[in-house]
Amino acid sequence: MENNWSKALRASISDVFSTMFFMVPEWDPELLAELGPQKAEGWYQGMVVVSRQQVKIGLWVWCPPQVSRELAANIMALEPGDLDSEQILDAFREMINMVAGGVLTTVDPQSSWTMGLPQAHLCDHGSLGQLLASTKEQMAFNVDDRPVLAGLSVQSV
Amino acid sequence: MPIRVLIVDDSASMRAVVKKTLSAAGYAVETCLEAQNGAEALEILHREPVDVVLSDLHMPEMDGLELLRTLQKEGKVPPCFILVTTEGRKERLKEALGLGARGYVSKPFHPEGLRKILSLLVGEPDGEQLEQGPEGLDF
Repeated sequence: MENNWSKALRASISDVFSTMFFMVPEWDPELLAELGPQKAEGWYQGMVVVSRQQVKIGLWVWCPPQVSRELAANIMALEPGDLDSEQILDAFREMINMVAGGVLTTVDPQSSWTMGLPQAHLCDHGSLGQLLASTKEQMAFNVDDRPVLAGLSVQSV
Repeated sequence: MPIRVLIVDDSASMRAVVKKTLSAAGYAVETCLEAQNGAEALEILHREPVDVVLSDLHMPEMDGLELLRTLQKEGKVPPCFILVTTEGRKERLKEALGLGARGYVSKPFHPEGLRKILSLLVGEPDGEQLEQGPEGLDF
């Protein structure tokens, strides 16, 4: 099951980034090892929980500040320097919302999973490795020589 | 003919994208109202005449389905209610269409996708109405 979700997450990130944010993420698994020790401060974290009966799956995306600002600028057709932090967070939340919607469209055509509301915030401590540690399936992308990370967490209640 | 539009989405960036797409497609928008959720949209729809509603489904407080259910009970679903949503699952979309939505655009979307559904349901920006129903859309 996780393999399907992981593939769907990877595909959805590519689709959402390229269609609505005009950025092309290239899957780059080698980046994961390199990034682990780096500081998470300033990175944006987005997450949506999807649930069915006793199982909750978290879909996560992390982006560094420059990528997050560019995502917001591209979708809103504004200059990156003209954006405030709330606009960046709003665009980031919408990005993870679209990513999660894309995943469910692929893995759950029968609508048996319920999608929660997207959450996003700015990380202020810890390392990227610590952020990733809560996820089982982890993936990294290269976006114009800048990293984007994603992962899945699975919780049985 | 200028249209009166209500955009319902909890994301300010998405409301801005939809607004820009409408204008880039050449629609003359007389009034463009915005709501962050179904409850706000309902309040606006109770006091303002609107030709086109472009609404998300997943929203806090009152989601798009609840908005449609309430409007249907009141017999007040606007003639052109279009979903602009991350929801791509057919069952959920069919439920919304059964409640009176006329069509949908799945996020992420190309501006052309939104323009196409508007031209089918509202008419071309020059005002010429197309003789085609929702069966011409994705269902």
